[in-house]
Amino acid sequence: MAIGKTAREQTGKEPSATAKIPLRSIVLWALVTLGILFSAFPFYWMFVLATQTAQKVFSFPPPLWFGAEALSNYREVLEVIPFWRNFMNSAVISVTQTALVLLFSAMGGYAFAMYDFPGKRQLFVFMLATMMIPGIVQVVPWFMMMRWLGWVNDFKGLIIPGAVSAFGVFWMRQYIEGSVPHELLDAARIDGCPEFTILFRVVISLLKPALGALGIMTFMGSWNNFMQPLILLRETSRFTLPVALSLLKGDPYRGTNYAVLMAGTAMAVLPILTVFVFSAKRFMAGLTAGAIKG
Amino acid sequence: MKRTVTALLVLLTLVVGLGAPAAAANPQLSGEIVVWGWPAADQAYESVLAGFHKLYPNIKVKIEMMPTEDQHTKLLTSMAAGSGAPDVAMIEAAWVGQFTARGGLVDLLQPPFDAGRHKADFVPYKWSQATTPDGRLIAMPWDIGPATMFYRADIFQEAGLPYEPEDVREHIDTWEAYIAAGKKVTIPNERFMYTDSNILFNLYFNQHNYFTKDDYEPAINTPENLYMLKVAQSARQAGIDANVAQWGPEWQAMLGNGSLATEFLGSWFGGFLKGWIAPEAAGKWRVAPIPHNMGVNWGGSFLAIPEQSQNKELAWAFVEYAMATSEAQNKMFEVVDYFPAYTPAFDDPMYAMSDPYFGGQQTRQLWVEVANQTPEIVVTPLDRQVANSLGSEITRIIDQNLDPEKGLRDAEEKVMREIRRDYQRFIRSLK
Amino acid sequence: MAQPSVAANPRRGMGSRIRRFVRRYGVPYTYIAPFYILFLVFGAFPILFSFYLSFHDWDGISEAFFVGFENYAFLFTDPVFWQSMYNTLFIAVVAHVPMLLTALVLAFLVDLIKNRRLQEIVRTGYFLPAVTSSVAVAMVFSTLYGTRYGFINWILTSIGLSPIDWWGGTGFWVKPAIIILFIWRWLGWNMIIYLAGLQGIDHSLYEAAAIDGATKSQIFLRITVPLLIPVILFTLIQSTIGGITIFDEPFVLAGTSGGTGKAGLTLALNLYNEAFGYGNFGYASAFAYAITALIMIISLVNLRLFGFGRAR
Repeated sequence: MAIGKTAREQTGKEPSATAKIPLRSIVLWALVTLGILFSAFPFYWMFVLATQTAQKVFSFPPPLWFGAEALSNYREVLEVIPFWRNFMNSAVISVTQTALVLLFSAMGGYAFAMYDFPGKRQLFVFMLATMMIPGIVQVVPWFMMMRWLGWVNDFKGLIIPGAVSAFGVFWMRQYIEGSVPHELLDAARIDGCPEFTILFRVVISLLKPALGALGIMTFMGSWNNFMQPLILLRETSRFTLPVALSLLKGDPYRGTNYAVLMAGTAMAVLPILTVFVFSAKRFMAGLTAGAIKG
Repeated sequence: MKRTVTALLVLLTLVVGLGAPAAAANPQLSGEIVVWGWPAADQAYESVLAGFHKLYPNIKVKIEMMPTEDQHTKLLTSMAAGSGAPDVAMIEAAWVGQFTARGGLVDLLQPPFDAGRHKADFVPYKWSQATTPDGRLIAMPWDIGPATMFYRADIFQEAGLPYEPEDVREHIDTWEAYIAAGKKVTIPNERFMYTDSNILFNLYFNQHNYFTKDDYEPAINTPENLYMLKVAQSARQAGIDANVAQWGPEWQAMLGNGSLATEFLGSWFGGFLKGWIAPEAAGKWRVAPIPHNMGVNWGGSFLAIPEQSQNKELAWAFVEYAMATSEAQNKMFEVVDYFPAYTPAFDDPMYAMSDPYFGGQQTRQLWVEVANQTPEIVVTPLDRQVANSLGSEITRIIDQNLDPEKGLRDAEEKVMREIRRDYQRFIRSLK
Repeated sequence: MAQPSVAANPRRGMGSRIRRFVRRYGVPYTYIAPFYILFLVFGAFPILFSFYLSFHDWDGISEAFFVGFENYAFLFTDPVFWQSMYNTLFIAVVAHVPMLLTALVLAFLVDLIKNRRLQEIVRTGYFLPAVTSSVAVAMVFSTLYGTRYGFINWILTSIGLSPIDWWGGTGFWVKPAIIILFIWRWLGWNMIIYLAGLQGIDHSLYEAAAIDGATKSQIFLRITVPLLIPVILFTLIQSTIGGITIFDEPFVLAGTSGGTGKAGLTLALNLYNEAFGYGNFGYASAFAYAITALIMIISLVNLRLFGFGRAR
């Protein structure tokens, strides 16, 4: 990979094939641009709608530029739900859960990648199989357990069962198998590093890219989780953001004030976008290294 | 110490509570109850707490709010899991059939609730809606949605139609007259008589009379429904409906810019128009009875006490006060516009008030009239399933202009085929 | 702990074997333990309980009663199940084939962008939809799909085409509407995964091929695609799971009924209805096991097709 990059930088040119067919490449680049517009436009529009009055949202032709109601819609959101409180709840749950998933996935992936032990294949296949069971019908028995444990209205009920991820272990195993040489472990052992701590002292720093990517995926999933917090949490002040936001849909007989709903949604999406934009580089690096190794 | 305080509070309530309604309040009841509701209902609860605490100073009410559709999922999950349900749950009309199974919600006709004594005070169809096939009452009626035709007087006038409520009532009293009026109102691609032809057919199904009253035979392929299906089809063929989905964004847009002349919905639609979808249309809208058959209800909710509640007596004290006193029902009506199912509430002068948004019309008088004419409603646990199956079939028949006789017959057959297992089980459970 | 007596010899042998075992395998077992412990505590019960339920008739409130294989047998005769199966497979295939192909080509093109900054912006732009919540998506797309004032129809009519009745008519357009939304949400995700795979490919291979006179499409088909097979397999399996359990998009667009002619009723939506709409928890559990089996079969077929079944 590194060699390829250097080679490309040295030549400072794109592959010569491109230069010969300018018309086709113009069309292709137009498609790339179009695709970006297709992907990003709804977001732009969401922010536009979040700054309009309720009537303006549905006027025709639709508003294409920002309105002046951002502040009043924001205030309206705060009137219906304790937004920042819900925001903090979501943050606490997502961050804790993500941290635990990263820890346990690194441990599990490392064990599956670097060690041989009886039952390894069976355990691994079993773990993969658990990924394939749809979660919807499990809601009732899951809630029964939460009652037995006394975790209703408690974040523990969301964090602890979600602290491990079969996908996460699988992901880390793929990465470690491809990028951590066995010699590194041997060298650490010769240096007298106890077996149990090799992962944390030596290997973990190599795993940063893959952990970064896994972290973002986990965080996104946790942040957007809806069904479980809905069933588990009782008070509005304990709600996570997605559940609280659905309160903005209001009364069945009064329809939805979409301007306010959009304002709340935009406020909730913004942090995720920020996290992603700022960590895009690491995310990409992690995927690059993790995905390619079949 | 605690006892002295209680005694003092009791004494205080006795003095304060003298003027309160004659419900047999037991002020010594004490404890905390959890009450569920969706947004807006929390404001309603809060508005009646002062009055409730005059009667029951020691019952603490904890209000928990959640999104409307999901509240029912949450309640069902709690029931299935064996615990976690509140002391008082709010149930929407379309969901009530879901909870008719024995063991979920208490039968309010049994002691100590004896809700039966209030029966005469509620509009009969609402009461029937919460009555299970085996005769239990699983929820106390809260509000109703007497449905009327909302129409734009200015558009009617412009189209040369009668536009004063009395004249509209007199002249647009059949569907034929309605369609004829629609042709005058409609300007292709610009202005339409109403949203969607499915609505006409569904108007009568919002009552959920999918089955006959006593023996629960399928009642989809009936002469009345066939008639409405034909009306809906000819309205579509006449091109007077916009063919956009009700509640969708387009619908809101069209209401806002005045390209829909009529709409058939429950009384609560008035609040929706005024609130933020068309506040600038003040003075333009009116209400008139639905042509042909005015007794139609659309929407409404109930309060129920789950079997899991540990505080059923306290819960009932709250439910009874909130649902079966004029004081509480009218307070909530004022705050959130929930039209009471409790008829003594209608004696209040505010029901004769004229509404400037509706050009000074006494709209509530008409809604009371509709409420009193609405026939009983048959509720079964199969309702949602039938609604899902039937709705998509009816759209097909109308949109493709299929033969209505055959279409409706096939639709009933198809629905019954799809639900046959649940239907057989339901019939078995009745015996 | 160790007993030095002769009588205890067999036990000591056992003990030392255990000790040796622990010394040898203690670390890996400890490391994988959290997953299996938490799974046994929180995952196994729901799965076993739904297995138990799949042999019972339970409305969630009354007593459950045993019905044997009735729920599974009923699956085969339930017209709604088969319709939702057809809908799901149709949507999954028609959405995924063009989406994955487009994602692959896009990734190839984006990889050629040399300006790092620009590439980052492009990547982020494409990835945005994957981080949205379904509420916002629903709102924006229902406006796009409006029959009369919808954005798409507005464009169609202004270039002289006839507007689309998205939700009515024969129900034909319900599936395309869902598919477009699905592609919108997940195109960027797959593109990024492919792009990640591409950036692991040595670019000097391209240059060598170009010098040998290979065209761009030849480079793409002969070098890029074969090297990307593991990544493609990864997205295929993820797509299989995502496609068969597709729920959000039809739910927010067509509602629980699945729209006209139930054209948008997918397996997961049907499952949700059976459990929470109609209170058939037993049948819903049998349903879930059928879906699980389907996912496993398709994943295995994918693995075989790419020759991975024998390798490991």
